[in-house]
Amino acid sequence: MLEDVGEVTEAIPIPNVNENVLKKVIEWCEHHKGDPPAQADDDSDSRKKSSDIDEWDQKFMQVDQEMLFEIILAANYLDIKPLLDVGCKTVANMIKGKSPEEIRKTFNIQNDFTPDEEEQIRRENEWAEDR
Amino acid sequence: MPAPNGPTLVTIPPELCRYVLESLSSRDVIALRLVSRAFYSYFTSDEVCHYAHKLYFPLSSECSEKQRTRRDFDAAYFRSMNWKQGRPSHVEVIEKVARASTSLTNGFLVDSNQNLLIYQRSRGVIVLKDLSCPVDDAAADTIITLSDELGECVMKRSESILLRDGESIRMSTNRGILLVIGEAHVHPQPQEGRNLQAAAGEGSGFFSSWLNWAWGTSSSPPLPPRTFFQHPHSLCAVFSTKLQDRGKLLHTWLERDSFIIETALNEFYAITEFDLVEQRLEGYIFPKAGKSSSKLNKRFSFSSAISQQTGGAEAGHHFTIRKKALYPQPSSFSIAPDTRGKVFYLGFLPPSTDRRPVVEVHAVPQFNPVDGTWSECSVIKRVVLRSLGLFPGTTNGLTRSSFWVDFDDGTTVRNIKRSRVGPSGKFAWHPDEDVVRLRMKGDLGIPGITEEGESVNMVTWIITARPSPIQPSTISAWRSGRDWAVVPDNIIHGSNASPYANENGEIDYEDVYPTPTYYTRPRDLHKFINQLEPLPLDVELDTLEGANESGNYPPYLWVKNQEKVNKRVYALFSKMSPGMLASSPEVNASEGHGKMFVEDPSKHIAYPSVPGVNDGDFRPPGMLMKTKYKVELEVGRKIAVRDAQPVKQVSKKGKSRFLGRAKDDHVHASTDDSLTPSEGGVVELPVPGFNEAPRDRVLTRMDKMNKKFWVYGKEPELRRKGEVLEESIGDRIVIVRFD
Repeated sequence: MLEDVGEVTEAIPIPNVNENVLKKVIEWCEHHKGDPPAQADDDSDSRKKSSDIDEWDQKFMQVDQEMLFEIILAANYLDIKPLLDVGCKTVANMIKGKSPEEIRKTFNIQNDFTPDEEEQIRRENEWAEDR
Repeated sequence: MPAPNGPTLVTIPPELCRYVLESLSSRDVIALRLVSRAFYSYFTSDEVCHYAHKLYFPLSSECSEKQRTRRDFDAAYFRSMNWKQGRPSHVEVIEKVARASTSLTNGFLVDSNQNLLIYQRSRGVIVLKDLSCPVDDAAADTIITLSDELGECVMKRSESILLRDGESIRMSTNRGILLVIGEAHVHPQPQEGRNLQAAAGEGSGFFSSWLNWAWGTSSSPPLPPRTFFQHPHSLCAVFSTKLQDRGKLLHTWLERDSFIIETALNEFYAITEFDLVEQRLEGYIFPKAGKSSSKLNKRFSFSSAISQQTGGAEAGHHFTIRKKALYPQPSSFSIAPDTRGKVFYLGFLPPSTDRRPVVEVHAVPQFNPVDGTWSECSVIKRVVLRSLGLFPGTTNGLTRSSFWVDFDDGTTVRNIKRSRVGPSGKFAWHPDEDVVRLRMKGDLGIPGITEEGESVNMVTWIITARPSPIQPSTISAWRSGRDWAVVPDNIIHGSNASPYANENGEIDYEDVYPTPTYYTRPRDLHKFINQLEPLPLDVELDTLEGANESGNYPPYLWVKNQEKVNKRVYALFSKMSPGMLASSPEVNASEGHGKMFVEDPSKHIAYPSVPGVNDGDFRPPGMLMKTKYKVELEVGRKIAVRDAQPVKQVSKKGKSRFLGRAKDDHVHASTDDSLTPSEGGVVELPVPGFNEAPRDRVLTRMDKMNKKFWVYGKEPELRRKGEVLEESIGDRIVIVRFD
């Protein structure tokens, strides 16, 4: 971002990131400021491993889901790729291998299908279930 | 339960959701659909499905479509799930198969790109079965009766070597082309009543008769002169397997030799290695389609054209390479085609002390319309694969057994990215460039690399078709120590100029010193299997299979569990290790030969300062691939066969996994849950056999990319103790479909 705006002396407004989220982002950056620069992944074999989150980051990401997604959005907006990576992996870990009902519980999502719709969708996807 | 107020997975920018999907599996996408209406709408949208399809099933047939939809993703997912869980939609057993078809590596063929099964129904009757057509749609089969198309010569048998029905016709296929070669034979007695001119021994008469037949102006093929037929010869023919003209005879010729060893085939040429005694390569460049009369295109005889010196590219061309006279003997030898008809690859592993694999890229002769001549077949690049160094005459710390070289089936244009892991840290070739992968297989223990009981059983290199900046010497000159045809003065006089530098002075080091990849496996596989990790949850099987297919990994290996034959088999997957093997520059080649160490791949690799001049002791760095994962399969269980209907699903209680992950959360190990036999009958889910090289006389063809079918050959069954068979069961081919 600083590269984009060039040399400035005034404060840069960050309208898309609120104070609480920015504090978390700064906390993360402070902790990782000594990390070596990440190497660019450039091929199909570099599929992200959701388990590759270090212990500190795992604890750091133990926040409510609204904050988690806000951190992801902030990392994207501020172009902090390693933080974005950790955030997305955390979300993936919350989904991976779970049933729809478990995903609903994890993310506090209301099941708004009508019983008929649910039955229809289940039939539609019956073939897809792990047996 | 309060609904989330802030952003969710389906309201964040799509590129962020895609980032999350990269850490999920296709199954997770299906689960996400069932969470809520908003999730259903989002994860069934064509945009998301398009991305998921590309991500999880990058090699499926639908991926060739520009715009993929939910339907495409669902179809690929459906097949993948059925494939993994052993839920075939249909199993078909072909009983009418020529004897011994299933005991040869090319007794029957499967072309995954064309979705085609090619087999002999009976001797000389070839069936091209379209596997993409509905089950039991016999009308979709294309039948080629060789005697009708080619006359009786193709059906003649050798009097000295008696081959069984399925063995007497050799077949190979690649890129929409089928090459058929009849059994070598002789005609010791002159035939009466036909072609008197030929019987009189006049070659030109034979050739004109042959031409008449080949062009369709004569109803029956001619007999060659007696002198010709007194020598062993084989009739060769090329048919199209492309959908638009499937089964059409394109080219024919007689090969005056007795036995075919290997073939490099594409739509432009066939290069065949004939005769165990004379050992030579015969190259046949097919006439160019569309530039000559339709009759000529329909049937073409190289013999006739060559004899009559008919000119032009329309006439095709024939050339010979005398392998035995030119190349070190006895060499392990292999040939491979390109995709454009411009070059072919020739690989050999010289005997004894000079055991460095060598790959030559040969330019295929081209027609010059100006002077009406064909260019010579010349070497445009020679790569000495010095990665393992010289194999010493004595073991010198190495344990070795015989190695042989082989190219991957079907040379490809590698229009995919290569792993960034490599000495130069960048792609070494243009995505559209023809490349071939050479495999050296065998069993080699290397101290410091392989552990006790372990060996390197394969080393591979990827070689491009790009010519060397200056032309290599002929093979004869090369064996005399001369590397280049014409060496520029500045190189002769020992300056710092490298013969590998292009006109801009640049050197593509990976092209000069291809990165070897070492594959290690334990010698005692069954003991090793128990120590392997099952496929972890965060590694997608589809991804691993895709990686296998795209060439970054070796083909996985099927291993039968001998204690439970027909019940458990294992697929072993390699995982690229983070380490890179590099030979130590300090190691004395004579004493510490073969010693290598693992170093950080990010460390800069120092190439020779002047490649081609001072690189005698250089050992290129390499990558090490170790088998790490296993996937367990259950086979041999009874499955119901129903025509064009999915088999009955197994109940939750008695569920069975066929490609399940052993010893993890996904384990469902039940072996006695046979499906209820349906009216359609019951067959056993067959043993997949070995993927790399057919063993145990069981052949397997698996459509791993599309996951649409498996095809097996089953040899005649033996009568087992206490069993009464009214009639013997001959060769069969089993097609297991998953679509």
